[in-house]
Amino acid sequence: MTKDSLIMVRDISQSMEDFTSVDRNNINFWLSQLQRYSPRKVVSICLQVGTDKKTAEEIAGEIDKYADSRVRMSEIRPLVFSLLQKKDPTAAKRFRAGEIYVRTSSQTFERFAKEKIVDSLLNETEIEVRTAEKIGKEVERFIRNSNMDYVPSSLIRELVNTKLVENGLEEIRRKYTRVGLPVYDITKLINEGTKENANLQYNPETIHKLMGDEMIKDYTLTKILPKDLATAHMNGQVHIHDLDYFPMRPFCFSHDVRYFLKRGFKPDGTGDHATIAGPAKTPEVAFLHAAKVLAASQTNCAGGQGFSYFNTFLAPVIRGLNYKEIKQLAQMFIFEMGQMYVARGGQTVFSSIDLDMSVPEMFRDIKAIQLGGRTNGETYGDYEEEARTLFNAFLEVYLKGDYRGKPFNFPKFEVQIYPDQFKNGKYDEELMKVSELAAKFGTPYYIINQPYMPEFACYQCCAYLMPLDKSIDTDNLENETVRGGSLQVVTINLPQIAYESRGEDDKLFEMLDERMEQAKKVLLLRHDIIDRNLRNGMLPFLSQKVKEDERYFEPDKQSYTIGMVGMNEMVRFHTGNELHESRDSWMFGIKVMKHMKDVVARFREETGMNFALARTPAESTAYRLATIDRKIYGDKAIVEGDPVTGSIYYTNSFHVRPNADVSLFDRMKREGAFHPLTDGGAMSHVWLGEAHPNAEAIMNLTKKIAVKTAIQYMAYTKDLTICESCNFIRGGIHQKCSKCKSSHVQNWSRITGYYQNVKGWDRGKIAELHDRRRYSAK
Amino acid sequence: MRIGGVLDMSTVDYPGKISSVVFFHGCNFRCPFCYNVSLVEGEDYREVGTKDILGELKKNREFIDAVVMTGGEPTLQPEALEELSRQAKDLKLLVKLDTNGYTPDILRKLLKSGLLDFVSLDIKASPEKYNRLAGINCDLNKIKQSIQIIRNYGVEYELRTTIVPGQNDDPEDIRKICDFIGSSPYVLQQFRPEGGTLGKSLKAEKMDKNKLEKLAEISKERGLKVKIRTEEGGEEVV
Repeated sequence: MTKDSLIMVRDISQSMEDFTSVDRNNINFWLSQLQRYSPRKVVSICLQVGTDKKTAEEIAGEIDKYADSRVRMSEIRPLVFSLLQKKDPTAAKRFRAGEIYVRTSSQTFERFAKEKIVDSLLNETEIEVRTAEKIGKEVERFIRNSNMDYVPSSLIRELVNTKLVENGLEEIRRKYTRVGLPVYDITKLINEGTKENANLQYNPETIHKLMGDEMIKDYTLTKILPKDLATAHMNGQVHIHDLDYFPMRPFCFSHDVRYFLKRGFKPDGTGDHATIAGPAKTPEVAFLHAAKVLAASQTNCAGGQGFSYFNTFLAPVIRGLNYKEIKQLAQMFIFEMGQMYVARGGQTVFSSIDLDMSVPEMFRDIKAIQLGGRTNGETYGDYEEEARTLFNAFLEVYLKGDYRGKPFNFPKFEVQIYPDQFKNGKYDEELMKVSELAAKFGTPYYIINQPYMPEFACYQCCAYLMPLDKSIDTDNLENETVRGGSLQVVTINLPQIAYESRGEDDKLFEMLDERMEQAKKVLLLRHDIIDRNLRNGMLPFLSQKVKEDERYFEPDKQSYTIGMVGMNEMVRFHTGNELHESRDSWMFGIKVMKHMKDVVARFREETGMNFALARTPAESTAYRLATIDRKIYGDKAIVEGDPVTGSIYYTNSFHVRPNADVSLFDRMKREGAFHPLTDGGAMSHVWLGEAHPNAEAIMNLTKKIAVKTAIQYMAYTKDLTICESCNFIRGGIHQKCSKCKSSHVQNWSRITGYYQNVKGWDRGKIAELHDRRRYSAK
Repeated sequence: MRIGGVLDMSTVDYPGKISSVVFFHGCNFRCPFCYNVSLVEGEDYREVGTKDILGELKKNREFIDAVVMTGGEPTLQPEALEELSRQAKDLKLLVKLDTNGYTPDILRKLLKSGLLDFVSLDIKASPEKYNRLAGINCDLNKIKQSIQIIRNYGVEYELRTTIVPGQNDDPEDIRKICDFIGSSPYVLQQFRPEGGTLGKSLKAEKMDKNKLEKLAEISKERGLKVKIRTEEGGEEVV
């Protein structure tokens, strides 16, 4: 080493020594000193690549004409290179070979400089300066020793992370780490798509969404959730739903179409990025606005979008039209919802409509919003006939199916039925039509107005019940804002609590409380995130104003849902019997449920927020939690399905095991007892095995379930085999079309809260599909 | 009693009602197109008491309206059939009997005791083809007698024929059947060769739905109330 370069090295180390003694605030000054241009540094660089001292000094002299100490060395280096090329090409080559280039995230090449590592460490974390310097050096050494032409900046970050771990700086690493996907995973996504979400087709939008999802999930677990909650999720203690949307969007929402009839429609919420429409002046535009409202809102929400009291609120719009025209409007709306294949990464909107057989009592005296957003003194009670006609028109559209005769899975069709009106037979005609639809396609979801139900409630998404009694007042009735939704769902893994508490009641309830406390923390965090996003303007559709101090979407009016999975397996482990096997076990399940209900009520009181207990739809949760528990607890974990192949699952919510050989009445009675305890929404399923159930018998059965059990929400599920060759639709799951013998068939069934092609289900759900005890099957 | 099994819930075996279905084992006919082979021949049955079946029915009592006695041929176990029907009536269930009509005396006895609310009676074919499609030499008077008895007692009923391609699907067959049964609610059922048939040599395809509809039209023209049952459309009024 030459004298000059020695001087330089000494200089720097001298600086370093000084540096360690200064406080952190001076860091930028000292760093800049390290990187500043000086003629000595130029000489040193030239000597390092083998040029002679004279040439080195010439170059330094030449540069010194233009540069002073305000310039950084990194800016000088290209100049050094071009002068070396003129004066000593061989040295220039060496100079170049010694450079390491970095491929940056902004898609350019830059020269490697360890200072950048130090800078970014100090900028993004609370690391100590000295440690940052040390890590920068170690990484540089590593890179210089490897023979790479260029280094991707992502690799540098990984190397830094490795060093951070080596230095025991895990907390720093969590902050500094990079969130992204392995090349292998991206290749796989591009080549194969995913099975995790049954709603997602394999298409380019989906692939983008999935990559984004993976990143946000990772980000949420790394950065957003406190470590204990992230760990609770990953250990399967709780399942935090929709992690991929966690830092951004609330979950599901049920809308009031009157808001838009009165005020018109801005798809982006502001009109800054899209065309603004005033209140609809023709029936067709009113229906189109309704369809687009759901699509627009889907861009701001993760879960289902629906309309409550849909035919009631649209009744004034169709006055004066003949039935054919009305049916055309209904058909247009249904097709729009099934054809806007644009939401959340190339899916249809997850939509639902609640229809009433008659104008509900509470709206009879409310002023009806007309076309043009006006009122004219008439109330919804004056539109009974139109509401009923529209109800029938929608049903006819549903019964016909699409062009090929395929049923509509979206928008989901939800219908309110009233057990106290069965005797007078007032709505038998409508109920019969609904039964025909159930018998043909299994489409309808029945909202049964049990005596214990709140007067005001809407079902949403995958059957979340929003008790609106508390959040909706007369004001909302009159100012077009009967709306609500669940902002977030957290599911408690019940079986795991049973394994952990080893048969001790006290321990079990204590752990249940702990888990619910975790769920509460997650829900509170989500409240704050969404509240902040609304205030920051990130959710413009939802933050539209109702009046000066009220937004269309108010976090304080949303439900915060705690769900559960595997009550059956919990009870079996804890008591030795399943829900359907012994009365004591069943009663223990009820006790657990009551306890959860009380805890949720306490949360409501403590926070003033609308916490709710709900049955979780568990499309992928049932499989995920069973799989985790099997890993942790081995054979001790009680799972359904086939543990040998790994196609396993937990029974959903408080349901009786899908393949338990019990009568339908027994099943409904046992599940029904849980419904009144589930203030955030419950659902029970009747799996049908007949190819063509008789509609009249279905109507009879519906009435009996409504009157003789406490079930509040239910659906009949009829499996369908749809032939891709000849369009023939046959009841049941079959591998071949029985008409044209083609094996190009799709199998459709209800996953939990909606119909879907079975192809997209995970293996746990497929196992459940095969296990389901179908009634009325020979 | 010998049964093949009990189906705890059905929406299609008793028109408009939710029913439980009891499959009696054993039959006096040998219809070549019969697809309930194990109910007719062989040892695949359970020996149970009527109490056992009653227990099954009770489990679902709150949901079911009716019990359907089918088979096989239920009237071949007359005591059990009567006892079970009586017990079902005590539970306030409707009782439906599916029969081939070859045991008119038993049918009369059950009707006389008020134990039946609905009777489905099979008409296998036109008179001249009856033996072939029933698989035995038939005394058709017995069947005529059964139809008459059902009418006399005024219970709900239907006559039904499973239409098998190449066996009884000629328009002439239907006309002759209509002559034979007179004016009755009539159901044409689609033959489907699933899971094997009793007659090993029977090589029939599934009955075409369009053809079935045309045959149904013929009987409708005769003034009968007609339905068809097919895989494609379930039960449909013609």
